[in-house]
Amino acid sequence: MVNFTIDQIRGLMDKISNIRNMSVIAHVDHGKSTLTDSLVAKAGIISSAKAGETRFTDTRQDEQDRGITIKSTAISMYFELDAEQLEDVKEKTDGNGFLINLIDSPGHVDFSSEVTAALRVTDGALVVVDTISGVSVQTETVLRQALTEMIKPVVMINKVDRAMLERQLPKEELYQNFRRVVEDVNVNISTFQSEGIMGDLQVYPDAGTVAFGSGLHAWGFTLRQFAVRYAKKFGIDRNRMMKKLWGDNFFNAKTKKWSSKSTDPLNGNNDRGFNMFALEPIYKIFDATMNERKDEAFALADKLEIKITSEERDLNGKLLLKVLMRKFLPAAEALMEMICIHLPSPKVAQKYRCAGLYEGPLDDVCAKGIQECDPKGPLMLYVSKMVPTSDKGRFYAFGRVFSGTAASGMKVRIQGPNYKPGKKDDLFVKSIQRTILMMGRFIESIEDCPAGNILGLVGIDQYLLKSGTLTTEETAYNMRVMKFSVSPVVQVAVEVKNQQDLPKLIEGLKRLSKSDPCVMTLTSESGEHIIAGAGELHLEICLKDLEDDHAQVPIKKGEPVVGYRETVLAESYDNALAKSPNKHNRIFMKAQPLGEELTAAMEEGKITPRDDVKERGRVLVENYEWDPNDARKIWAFEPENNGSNLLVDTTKAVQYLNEVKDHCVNGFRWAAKTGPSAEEPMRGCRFNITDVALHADSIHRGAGQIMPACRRAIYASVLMAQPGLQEPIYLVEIQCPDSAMGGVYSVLNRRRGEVFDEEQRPGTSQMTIKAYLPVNESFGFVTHLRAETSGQAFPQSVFDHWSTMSGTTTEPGKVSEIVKGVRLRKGLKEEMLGLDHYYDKL
Amino acid sequence: MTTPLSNPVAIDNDGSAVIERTLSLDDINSRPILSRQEIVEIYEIDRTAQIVNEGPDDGKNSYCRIALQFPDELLPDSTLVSEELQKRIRDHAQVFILADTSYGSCCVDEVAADHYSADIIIHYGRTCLSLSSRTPVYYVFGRETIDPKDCAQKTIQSLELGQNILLMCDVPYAYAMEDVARELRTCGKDKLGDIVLSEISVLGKPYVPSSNMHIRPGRRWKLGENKTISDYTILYVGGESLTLTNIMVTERAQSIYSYDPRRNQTLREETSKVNRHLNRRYYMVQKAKDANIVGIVVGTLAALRYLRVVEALKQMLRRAGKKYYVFVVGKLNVAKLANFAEIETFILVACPENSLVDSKDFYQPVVTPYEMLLAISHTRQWTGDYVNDFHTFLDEAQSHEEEEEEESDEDLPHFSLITGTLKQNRRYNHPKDNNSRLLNTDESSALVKQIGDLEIRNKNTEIAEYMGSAGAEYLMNRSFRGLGHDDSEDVQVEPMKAVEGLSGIARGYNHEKNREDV
Repeated sequence: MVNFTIDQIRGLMDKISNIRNMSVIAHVDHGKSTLTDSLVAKAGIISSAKAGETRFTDTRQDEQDRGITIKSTAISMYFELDAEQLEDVKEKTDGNGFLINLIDSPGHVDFSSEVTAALRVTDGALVVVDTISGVSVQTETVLRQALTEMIKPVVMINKVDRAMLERQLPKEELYQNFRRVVEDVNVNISTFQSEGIMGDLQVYPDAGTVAFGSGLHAWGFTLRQFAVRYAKKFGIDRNRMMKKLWGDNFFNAKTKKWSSKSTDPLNGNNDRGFNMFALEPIYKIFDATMNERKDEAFALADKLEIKITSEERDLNGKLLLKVLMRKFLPAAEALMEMICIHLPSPKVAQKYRCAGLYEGPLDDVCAKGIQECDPKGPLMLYVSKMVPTSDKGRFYAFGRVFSGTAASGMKVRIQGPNYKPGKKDDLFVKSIQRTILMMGRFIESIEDCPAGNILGLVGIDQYLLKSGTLTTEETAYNMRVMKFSVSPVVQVAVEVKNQQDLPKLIEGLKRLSKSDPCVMTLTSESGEHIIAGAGELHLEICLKDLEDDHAQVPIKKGEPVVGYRETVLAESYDNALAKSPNKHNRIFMKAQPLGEELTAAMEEGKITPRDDVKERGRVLVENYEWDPNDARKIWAFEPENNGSNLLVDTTKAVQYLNEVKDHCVNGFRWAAKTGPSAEEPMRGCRFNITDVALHADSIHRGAGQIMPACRRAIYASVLMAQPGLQEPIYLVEIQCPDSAMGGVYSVLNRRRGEVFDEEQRPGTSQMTIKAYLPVNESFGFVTHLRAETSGQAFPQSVFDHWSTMSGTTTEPGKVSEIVKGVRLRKGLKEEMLGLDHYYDKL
Repeated sequence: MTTPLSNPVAIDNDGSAVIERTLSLDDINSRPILSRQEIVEIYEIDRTAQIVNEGPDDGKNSYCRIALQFPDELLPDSTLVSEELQKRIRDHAQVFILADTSYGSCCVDEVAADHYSADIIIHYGRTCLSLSSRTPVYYVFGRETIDPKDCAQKTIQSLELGQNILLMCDVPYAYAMEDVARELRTCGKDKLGDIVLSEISVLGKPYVPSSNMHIRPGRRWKLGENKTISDYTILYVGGESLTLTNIMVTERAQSIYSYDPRRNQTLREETSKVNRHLNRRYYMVQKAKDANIVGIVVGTLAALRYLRVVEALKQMLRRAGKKYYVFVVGKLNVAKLANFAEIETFILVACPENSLVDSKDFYQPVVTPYEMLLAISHTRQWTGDYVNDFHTFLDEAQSHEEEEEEESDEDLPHFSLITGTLKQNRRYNHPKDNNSRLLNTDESSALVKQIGDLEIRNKNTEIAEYMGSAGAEYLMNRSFRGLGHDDSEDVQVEPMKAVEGLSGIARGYNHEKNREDV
C-alpha cells in the first residue's frame, strides 16, 4: 500500500525546507536501481519483499531485460523523520514530513546525458560505489558532472554482502576497503570542486555522509545509526560516539577504554571502533545464518531487537540472512536519514546554484526569485528532458520550478535554447495544459507546483525539442543550457524499407530526438537520414526505439560510421590566391594549424566569439603567443558561428575591406562546414587573409563575387598546407581479472588501441586498464573483448579527444583511402579536386 | 546547356571575352562537315519549307517572318540551313537566325523572336519540349546515327525475361524509334513483355488529354491495360543529358536503362543514380522548409503558363508567411545568386529540364516549384513522386490550397532535419499585398501605430522587429551597414567634402572613353 496520498505530497510541496531533490548516480552495475527499490518499498509503492528485485524505476521492457537503466526516472516520495533525527537536520525544518524527489539515472557511459539532465533538476546526489570494484571511470564522470552543476554528494558503498560472502573479507580488510573507496571519492571531489561557495563537499563516514550496505538485500547503515544505538547503551553523546566509529580509534574490550593505537602491550589487542561496533554484529549474523546455526541467529535477533514472524523462522541461509539484515538495518532508513539530514533543501541549494543556472544578471527579479526559491516570484522553470507519454508522439516536459509557481492553464513564455532576451527567436507564448507529478511508472495530476519542486508538464512539448526555459517574466534570460560530457560521435544512416513510410520515419526521427537529450538526427547533404549517438549501445537503443516506438515502420540501417574532421598539418607554403568569378577581386590566404591547446580551449568555451575583443586578444597574446595585431582582428569562428576555426584579417591598409567582411565570413562558414578533402567539417585551422585586391566599384565586389572567391581561397590554402584528417578517440576503461589481460591486450592491439594506464586494485586480482581507442575501431569492440576474455572484461568507452592521423589527404596512404571512402559514401567523385581547381594564377 | 555555370563574362572589357570564349562542346570538332545534301536531309529542310508555306491556316497565308533558333553546337550549320530554307519558301518570307539564347537553348526563345516579330520559330537540336505560349513552334530535332539492331540486341541481352519496356529517347533519335521498337518486337518476341513507344510532338502544342494516355510536355505514351508505370522498365536511347535526369526523377518506373548510340556502349543501369539523385533533392526540400526568405527566379520567358506558376508560388509563400522576392537574372550562375545573400532558398521557374539545378557551387539551394510546395505543405509529404511540368504543378498547387484551408496552429515550430532542432516559422507581413487593407485591419493599423507612437524602447529590442521587415533584419546582422560614421572602429574617419564621382557605366566610364585602346 502506498503510505502517502497525493494531497499529502502536494501539501509538502509548499514546505520548501522539507523538500529534497536528489539523483542517484554511479558507474554501471553498481546497483543504483536496486538500491532505489528499497526507498520505493519504504514509501509503500512496492512490497518490501520485492525490493531489490523489481527495479521499479527501470520502466522500460528493455531496461528490465538487459538489467541496465537507459532512461532516468523520477519518483516523488513522502517520508517522516523521528524527532531525534530531526534534531540533526542543520537547516530549518517545517514539520517532520519530508518530500523526496528522487531521480534514478543510468550508469552506462553512453547514457550519461540522461545523468546530466537529472542532475540539473536536483540539488543532491547519492553516489553509489561498489565495494569490490571501487571508484570507476563513470563514477568519476558523474561525480565531476555533479560538482560542476553544484550538486552536493553523499556516498553509499554498496554490495557489502558480496565482499563478505564471496570474498570472505575479514573485518579489518573490509574496513580498509571502505576507507580506500571513501578516499578515492574524496580525491575526486577535491579535484573537481570548483569554488568554495558550497563549503567542504568531501564525504566522511563519521559525519554520516557515507552509508554502507547492500541494495540487493535491502540493508544498509550509517555510522550515525550505530552511534545512536550505542550512545543510548553507553550513555555518551552520539556525536562523540560517531567520531569513535571511524578512523584510527581503537577500543580495548578489557579496559573499556578508547585509544589511538591498534596494540596495547598491557591488555592485549585493541579493536578498531568500526570493526568492533559496526561490523561485529553484522558479521555475527552472517556467520550464524550462512553456517546454518539458526538458534544462534535467532538469539542474536532477540538481542538486537529484531522481530521475526513465524513464517520467517522457516527460512534458511541467504533468505533468512536477508530478512534478518533487512529488519536489523533497513537500507531505506539509512538512506533516508542521510538524504534528509545531509542533502540541501532547494531553499539552501538555489542560493548558491543561481549563479551557475541563470544566464542573466544576478540582481534581476528572476535571479532573485531563484535565489530565494520564492513561490510568489516570477515563474522560472527549466525543462531538462522530455518523457514519452502513452499517447504516441506526445511528451511530458520534465523539469523543475526554480522560482514562482507553475499551474495548469497558466500562460507562459517558452524560451528555446537560442532565445535572446528582447528578440523573438525561439520564443512561444503558450498555456501549460496540465501540471503533473512523475511517479516512476505512473503520473498524478496536480493543480499547481511551487518553486523547488520537480514536475512534468503537459502541452508544451511541441514547442521545445529537448530542453528550455519557461517563464512569466518578459525580461527573463534563459537558464543555462546543459553541458553534456558525451558527444554524438558515432553515426548511422537509416532509410525506410518502403518509400511511402518516409513521412513516418521523419516523424519518428523527430520524436527520437526529443526523447533523448543527446541523440542528434539530421539529413546529410546527400539526403541520408543520420542518427548520431554517443556510442554503439546508445545507437542500438535509439534504433530500436525508432523502429518499435517512434516510427513504427521497418527500417534499413547502414553500418555505423564516424565523423572525421579536416585540418591542416602545417602552414601554407605560399599565399593561396583565388579570384572572384568576374576576375576583378583577388583574395590571398594562408592556412595554419591553431594548435591543439587553443582548439581545445575554444571547444570548451573558454575562448568564444562572444568574448570581449580586447580581453580575448590579451588571452591569445599571453597564452597562445599570438601577434597582438592579429589577435584583435579575428573575423569569425566557424562552423556554426561557434566552431574551432578562425578567420583572421592580417592585411595592411586594404580599401573597402570592411565592406566585404560579411561576404568573406559567409564564404568561410561554408568552407569550414565542408572541407576540401572529404566535405567533413574543419577543425583547428586558422586562416589568415594576407591581402585582398578589390574592385573600386561596390557592385563588382558584391557577395556573389567575394563569397565564392573566399571559399576557394580557403580551399586552396588548405591544400597548400598539408591537409590532414582527425579522427575521434575513445577513452576506454576496462576492468578485468589479471588472467584476462592477455586477451584485452590482443584485442586492443588489433584495433589500434593504445594503453596508457594500468592499475591493480590493491588486494584483488582486478586490473583496471585505461586505453585510447579510435572510435572507428570500436564497432563490435565489446563483443570482441568479451569473446577474447570469456566475458571477464567490461569496457566503458567515452569520447575523449580528436587525434590527428599521420599522413595527408593528398598523398596516397591510409588517410587518402579514408577520404576516398567518405567521398564514396557521400556520393561524391572518388578523387578529391586538386589545387589547380581552386588556385588561380595571377 | 553545355556551357559551365560559373563563368560569367568579365565586365569592363569591350566584349572581346565573349567573342574569344571557347565553348566546351564534346563533339564540335568531331562533327563531320556536312554537305549541302546532308544538311537538307538532316535538318528536314523540305518538310520545314512545307510547314512554312502552308502557314497557320492551311496555305491561305504562309508564314512571313521565320526565326531559326540554333543551339551553340549547331551554329556552324546555321547559314547553310537558312540559305537552303530561303530557297524553298516564298520570296517575301524572311528567314533570320537566333542564337545565344537568354536561358537554356533547349527552350524556345520567344522573346528574342518577338524582337523581330517572327510568326513562327523553327527550333533546331535538343529541346526540352516545353510548351510555348504565343508563337507557333516547329521542332527540328536533327538526326543522329543509330543502329537499331544493336540497340535491340543489347537490350535483350541485359534485361531479365518478361520485362515490359517503355521506350523513350533523346530527340535526335526520335526518327529511329519505330525501327528500334520493331527490332525489339521481332528479336525479343519470347523474352520481353509489352513494348510501348513514346511519341514526341514536333509542334509545340500540348497533346489533348485522353484516357489511359500518359502525357508529359511534348511526349505521350499509352501503357497496356491495367498497367502502371511501375510495371515497366524504361529504355532510354540517348546520352547522358538533362532529359534523362528529368525522366529519372519524374517517372517511377521499375528500373531505368540507358543506351547511348554515340558511345555504342552496352546498356547502363541508371536506377541506382535515381535514388541518389532523389535523396539529394530531398535534402534540398528540407533546406527549403527551413527558409524564411525565398527568391523566385524566373528562368524562362517562353514556357507556357510560367507567369501563372510564379503567381501561384507567390500566393503559396504569402500564405505560409514567408518573404519572397522575384528575380530575373538570365542564365543562372553562382555569382548572380550569391549576390542576394539574405535569400535562403531560390525557386527556379524554368522548363522542366533546366529547373533541376544540382550544383554544390550554389551557396543556397535552388529548388523547383513543386519542391517548394512539398516544403511548405503540412499535408503533403515527400513520397518520391515528382512533378516537373507547370500544368501538373498548378493543379497540385490548387488542390494544396484547398487542403490547407483549415489552418492549424501557425506558431507550431517544425522539426528541421538540417539542424536537427526545432525551427520556428518566422512570419513576415507582406505590406505590398495588403496595401488596400492596410488601414482598416486591426493588425496592420496596430503596427502602424506602434511605429508612429513614442514608446520606451526595450534596450535590446530593435526597430526592425516592429517593422517585421526581412531586409531590415538582415541588415541588422551585417557588420557593414553602408557608408557612414563608423563608431566601432578605433580609426577616426575625417569628414570630407563631397567630390564628384564617376559617371557612366562600369563597362567603361565617361572619363575612360578616350583611352579606347588600353
